[in-house]
Amino acid sequence: MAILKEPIRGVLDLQNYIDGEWVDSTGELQDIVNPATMTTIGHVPMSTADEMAAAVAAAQAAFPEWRRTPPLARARCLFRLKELLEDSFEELSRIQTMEHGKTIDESRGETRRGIEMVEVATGIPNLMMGANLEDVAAGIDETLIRQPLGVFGIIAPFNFPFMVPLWFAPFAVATGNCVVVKPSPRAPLSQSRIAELAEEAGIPEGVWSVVHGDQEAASAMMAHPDVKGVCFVGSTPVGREIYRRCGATGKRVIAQCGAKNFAVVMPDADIDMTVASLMTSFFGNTGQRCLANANLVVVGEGLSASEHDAFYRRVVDAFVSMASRITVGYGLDEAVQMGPIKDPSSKERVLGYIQKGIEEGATLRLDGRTFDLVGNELPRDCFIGPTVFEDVTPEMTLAQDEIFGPVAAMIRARSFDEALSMIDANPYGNAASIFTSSGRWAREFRYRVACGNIGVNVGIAAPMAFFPFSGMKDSFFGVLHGQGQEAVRFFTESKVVIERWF
Amino acid sequence: MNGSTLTASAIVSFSQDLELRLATFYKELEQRFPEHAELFHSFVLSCEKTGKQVVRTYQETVSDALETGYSFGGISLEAYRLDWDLPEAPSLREAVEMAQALETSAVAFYSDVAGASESLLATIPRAFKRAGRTHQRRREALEALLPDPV
Repeated sequence: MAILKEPIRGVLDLQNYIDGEWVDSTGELQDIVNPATMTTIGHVPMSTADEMAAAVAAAQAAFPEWRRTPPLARARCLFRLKELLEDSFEELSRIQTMEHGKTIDESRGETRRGIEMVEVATGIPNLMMGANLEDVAAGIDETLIRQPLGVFGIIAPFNFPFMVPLWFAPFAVATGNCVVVKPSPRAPLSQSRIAELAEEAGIPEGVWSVVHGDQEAASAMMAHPDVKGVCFVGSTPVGREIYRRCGATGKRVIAQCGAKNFAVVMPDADIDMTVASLMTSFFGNTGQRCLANANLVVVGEGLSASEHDAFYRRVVDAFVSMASRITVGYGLDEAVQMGPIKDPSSKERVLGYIQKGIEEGATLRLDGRTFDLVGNELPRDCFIGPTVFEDVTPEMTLAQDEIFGPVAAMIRARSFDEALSMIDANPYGNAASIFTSSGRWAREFRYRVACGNIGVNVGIAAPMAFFPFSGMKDSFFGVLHGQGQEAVRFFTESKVVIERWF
Repeated sequence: MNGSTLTASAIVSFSQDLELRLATFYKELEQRFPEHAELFHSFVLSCEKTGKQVVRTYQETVSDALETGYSFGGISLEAYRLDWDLPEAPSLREAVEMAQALETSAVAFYSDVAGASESLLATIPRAFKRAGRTHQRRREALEALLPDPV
């Protein structure tokens, strides 16, 4: 099939967007590379601490007026932004494929999810409304008011470069706060484009800023006394450190972190439907997502040993058969079902895990190190095929570590309880799925599993914009989560007024 | 390709191409058969509308959580590709019979992809079924244009 037209021609030199102006950074430039073609499509600056401070100062200056702007007027800015995002839907989606590598279907899905956040945030006049109660004592009324706090920072990951900042920014801005977004330097293009659209939508100067960069810019954001809170999505070690550092200065934190998710398949599951769902779950986004399932636990509850063997074989064979037919190539080719890994070093890390799995005694059933590539002329630097290991045990590195690549581990559990004990023993708690036709097992699963996002016959338990994106254990640091009402609460302070008039 | 599973993107692109080419085809009939220009023009508008509806449905429902890459198994787009070139100076019968063949192919395409997408959100197969019904009605309307057999 033909390759869809690339929206980026030539090499873009990104600027920061501070106080409504596009400004050059004095920081060093880093290449932005399309992982499918290995061509440089842009340069991103590693902004300095002073540049981050300038963005925070502009945001702090814009805050009083933006806060006084009526919620409905703030919502209208977001309505305009939503329309502009819709108008640019295809361009934004293709940019994501170029900067990240995901397939065009995946990019469009990400665009849709991001736009949905803006849509939900336009409901802020209702979402932000307080409460009151008359006569809490004689002649005394009590009122709850939700007030914005000021400036929030957003530190984004590379794997959902368009969507993740939108988990937070629309809610922050709708509630009257100002935001400074620091995109991932590995995939920063989407956020620059969103800032252009935010400007066009009439969001005032200083309310929505973008500062590119890496550690220096992020550290400056976290250390700045005018930053009231930080939203972060990324690895667990970094999230833990951000939580610690921000806690020390009294900042609010949402830190959504790493994961190692389990999919549990019960003997009464619909295998055909389950396996189709598992493909997206294990190999969607080339496994580079915190909601990806990585461990498939085939449960033999109520089965004899031989029946369990047969059931395990059916599930694994169907899984391997479908995985082996996944087409790998450039995401702008509509025939492609899985794109590349983000960069060569990430690929090397995944290859290291494959080698480790072999050394630890797992059986390599489908070897992603050898695969057919759609578009033979493409460099293979970042490509890797779907990989499936059998005979994996819960204590193996394969089953423990977040690999962040298209590597699936097949595990057996004699019973439902044994499967749950495996999930329980894992330090992460982002998501888990069960595939079953039994309401009883589904109910037990969602009741007992300590993960923030539960799927029942759903491989990717991704909450919609009006529900919180939850997470537990080492997958989340903070109290309130992003999205929906929890985001509104995170970005506002509750003030209570107790009134009596003589 | 893995031979039997197409991406949602490929299906929607094919739908766009099909509606665009049908619209172009009916524009040509509109020129060649002025006595039926109004009807053929309405077909052009209908093709454009169907194309927009399918794309809008896809863009509004596509999500990272749907199995968009793996849902269209057993579909081969080659089965719906037909010869689109009108012969020079066709008779009305030749033109209408060709249009009917194209519409029949379109009906089959939308019926097949609606069936294959049942596992996705209900809006997706619904949009395909609606498009299929539009082509089915058009095929029937074309029938009325055919002169009685000699």
